[in-house]
Amino acid sequence: MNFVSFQYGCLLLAAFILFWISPRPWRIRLLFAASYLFYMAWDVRFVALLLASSTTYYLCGLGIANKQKSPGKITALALLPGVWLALCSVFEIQGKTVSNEVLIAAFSFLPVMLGANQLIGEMPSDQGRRKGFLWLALGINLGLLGFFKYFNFFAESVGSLVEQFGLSSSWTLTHIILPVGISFYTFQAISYIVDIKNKKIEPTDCFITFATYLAFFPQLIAGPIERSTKLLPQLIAPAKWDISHLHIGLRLLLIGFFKKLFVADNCAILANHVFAADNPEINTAWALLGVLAFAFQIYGDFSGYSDIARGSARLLGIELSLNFRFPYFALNPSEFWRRWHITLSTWFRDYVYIPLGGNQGAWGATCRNLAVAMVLAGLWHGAAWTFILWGAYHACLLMAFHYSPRWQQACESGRAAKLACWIGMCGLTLIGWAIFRSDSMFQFYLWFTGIFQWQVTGAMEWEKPARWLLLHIGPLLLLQWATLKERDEASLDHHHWATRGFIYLLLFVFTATSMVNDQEFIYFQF
Amino acid sequence: MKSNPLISHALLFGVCLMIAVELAVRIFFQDNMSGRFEYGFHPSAGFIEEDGQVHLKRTGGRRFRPQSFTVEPPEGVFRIFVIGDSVTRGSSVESSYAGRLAVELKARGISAESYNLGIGGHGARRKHLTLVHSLNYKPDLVVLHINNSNEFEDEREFLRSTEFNSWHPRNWPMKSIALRRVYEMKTEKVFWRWIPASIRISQAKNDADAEIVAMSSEGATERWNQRVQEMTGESTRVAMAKNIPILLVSQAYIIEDVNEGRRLEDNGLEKIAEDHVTNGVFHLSMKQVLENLEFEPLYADRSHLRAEGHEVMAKAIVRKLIDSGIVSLKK
Repeated sequence: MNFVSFQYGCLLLAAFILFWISPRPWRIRLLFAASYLFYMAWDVRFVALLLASSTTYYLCGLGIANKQKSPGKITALALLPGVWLALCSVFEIQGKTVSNEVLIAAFSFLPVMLGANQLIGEMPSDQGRRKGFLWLALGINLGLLGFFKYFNFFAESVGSLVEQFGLSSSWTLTHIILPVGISFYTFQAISYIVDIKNKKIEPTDCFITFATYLAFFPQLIAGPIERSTKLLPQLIAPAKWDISHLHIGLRLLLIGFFKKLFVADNCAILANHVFAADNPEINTAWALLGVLAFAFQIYGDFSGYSDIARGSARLLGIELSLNFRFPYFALNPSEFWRRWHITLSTWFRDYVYIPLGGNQGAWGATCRNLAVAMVLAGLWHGAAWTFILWGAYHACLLMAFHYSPRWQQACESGRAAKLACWIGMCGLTLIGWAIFRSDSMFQFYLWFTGIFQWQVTGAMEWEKPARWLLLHIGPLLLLQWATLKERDEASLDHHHWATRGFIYLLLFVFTATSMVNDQEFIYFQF
Repeated sequence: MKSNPLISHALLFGVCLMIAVELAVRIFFQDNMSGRFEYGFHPSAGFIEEDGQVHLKRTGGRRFRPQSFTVEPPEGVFRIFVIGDSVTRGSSVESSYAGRLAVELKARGISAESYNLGIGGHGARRKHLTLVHSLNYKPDLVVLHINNSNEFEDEREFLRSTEFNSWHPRNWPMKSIALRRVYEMKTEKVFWRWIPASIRISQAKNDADAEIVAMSSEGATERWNQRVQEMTGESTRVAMAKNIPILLVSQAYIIEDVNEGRRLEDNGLEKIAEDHVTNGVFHLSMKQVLENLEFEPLYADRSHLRAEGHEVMAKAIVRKLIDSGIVSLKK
C-alpha cells in the first residue's frame, strides 16, 4: 500500500475519523489494527516477522527490567508468528504460500523464547541478566535483518572471492524477499531495548502499545526512526482533539506529495536515464544533469515521504521527529548529517559512534569510530558495495572536516568563505550521490569518466532536459527560501494567511498537474 | 484564548482563489473550453450553430479550419464535406483538395460548395464522429480520407477522455478545466518538447504510453488497420442509411525501397476501402492517382501533400465524381 494510492487515502481517512470518535482507551487498539492492516497489504506473511520482532523486544525489555511475564503469557505471544503463518498457509491469503520449513522455523520461536527466558531469567547477577536479554533481542532481530537483507550479498561476495582463487562455490543462492520496513523497525526496536538497558526508560507493560510503537503505520515502512522516549508516551496517552492537528497534518501531506510527485518523480526521469545500465553516451553535461536530478529526486522522495508520514501521524494527534532540515544548504559534512535523514544519523551517533568512544579518544580511535559508524550507515541502506563505498566516502569527508581547522574556520567566516564552503560541499555531496545511485562500481566508473568527456558521439542535447530539471527544482527552492528561517522545512506559520493560501494553491496545482507517475519511494527498498 | 477556525483562513483563501480561476476560465473562455476535454470524442464539438448558420471553429478538441455554411443546403448547390486528418486539412482551406473541389466542379459548370473538415491527428474513430454529426447538415457527398497513421493518437486521446470522465479520485482534480489545461500544457508543450524521445520511451509512465506502445509494438499496423476497417464500415453504414453517397480516398505514403528507390505504398488501405465499395460507396486510391506522375514534388513529406498535390487530387476526385455519375446522379 503505497502512500500515493487511493487505498492509503481510504485507510488514513478511516483511521482519522475512527480515532477521534473512539473512546481514548480504544485508540491504541485502533492504531494497532490500522498498522497491521497497512503492513498486511504489502505481504501478509511478513506480519509474522513483525510479530516475532515485537514479541522478542517486548519480552526482553520486560526481562531487562526484571518484570518477566509468566511462561503462559510468553507461550501465547511466542506462538503468534507461527499461528499467523499457519493461518496464511491454510487460507492462502493473497495467494501466498508458506513452506513447511518456514512454518517449523516460526513455531521453533516458542521453545527458543521459553528456554532463553528461563535461562537468562535465572542468572544470579542483575548485570548478567540485563546483558543476556539485550543480546537475546539483538541476536534474534539482527539475525533476521542480516538474513533477509544481507545473506545473498555476502554469499555472492564470498562466492566471487572463492572464484578469484580458481575454486568454485558449491552453494546455490535462494531468492530472498526483503520485507519492507525491516531496517527501520529493527533500528527503532534497538533504540527501545538499549534505552531500557541504560535505564533511560521503563519498558511498557502493554504488548499492543509496544507492537503499535514498532508498527505505527505512517512511519513503519521508511521512518522517521522514532525513539521510544518520543513516540511511546504519545501512544500511551493520546493527544486531545485540536483543530491544529488537522491543519498541520494536511499542510504536511500537501508539501509531502508536492515533493514526491512534482519534484522527485519528474527528476527521476533524467536520473534514471543517466544511471541506466551501462549507458555509454554520457558526457559532462549529462553526467552533471543526472547526478543533480538524482540529488533532488532522492531529497524530494525521502523528505516527501517523511512529510507524508509526519502529516499522517499528525492527523492522529501524534508528532513525529523531523527528518530533514535543508540538507543542501549545509556548508560541511558534519552539518550535512545534522540536516539529512536526521533520525538515522542521530541513531548511529547515539547507538554506534558514541558507545564506540566517539571523538573522545586519540586521533586514530576517532577515525575508526567514524569509519565504523558511516560504513554501517552505508550498509544499512542496502547490500551493495556502492553503499559501503558511499558510507566510507562520507566517513572520509567527516574525518577531513574534523581534522581541518581551516575548513572549520571557513564555515564560520565571511560570506565569500561560506559560499566557497557551500559550493564545495554541494560538489562533494553530488559525488556521494553518484556513488549511491550507481548500481555497480562499473556504473560509477562510467559516470565518473563521463564527467571529463565534453564531447561524446551519440550524446543527446542537454539544454532542454536541463530546463525540465530547473522547472521542477525551482518551485522547491522557492518553497525552501520561504521557510529557510524556520526549524521545520514545512512550517509556513510565519507568513501572512493570504501568502500561505497562495502557496497552498501553487503547491496543489503543481502536485495535481504532475504527470501520472508511479515511481516507488526509493527508501522503501531499504 | 482564541480558538482556531475549522477551516484556516489560508486554506479558505487558497480554495477561493482556485474557484475564482476556474470560474474565470469557464466564463471567459467558454467557447474555447466547451467539449475541450473530450479530445474530439464529443459528438458535436467544433460545430457552432447560430442564426441558421453553422460555424466550424477551433474548439472542443476539434481544431477545424474556420469555415461557415448554412444549416439547410442552398437549393441546387452540390454540398461536399471532406472528412480526414492533417493530409486533408492541408495548409489552408483554399489550397487543400477539399477546398478546391468546389472550384473544380464550378469550372465544369456544376454549382457546388465544399468544406474541409480535416483535423490533424484524427484517426478512424474521431473521423467517424465528425462524419456522423456532419450528416445533419445534409451533404450531397461525403469524402472520407482513410489513413492508419493516427490510430495511436486516437487511442491516446480516447484514453485521456475516458480518464477525465472516470470516477477515480485520482482524476477528481482534473474535473477542473483550469487544472486540466495546465496539465495538458505541461504534457504537450513541456514534456514532449523538452524530454528526448528515447528517454520518454524508456520510462513511459504517463498518458503518452498509448502512443509509445503503438509505435513500438509488433503488429501495430495490423491492429490499426483492423480498427480502420471496422470504423470505415461503420461510417459507410451510417451514410448509406441516410442515402448519402460516400467516397473513400485511401492514403498513399512515400517509402524508401532498397531496390526500387522511392515509391508509393498504401499500407493495406486500398484493400480496406475496396472491401466497402458497394452501391453508393466509392473508392479513389491516392496511390493510383499519383504513382504514374512525378509524385515526389507533390509531397511535402512522406505523407502530406503540397498545394500542387492537392490540386492533382481535387481534379482526380472530380473526374471520379463525374465518371461514377455521382454528380449527375444527384443534380
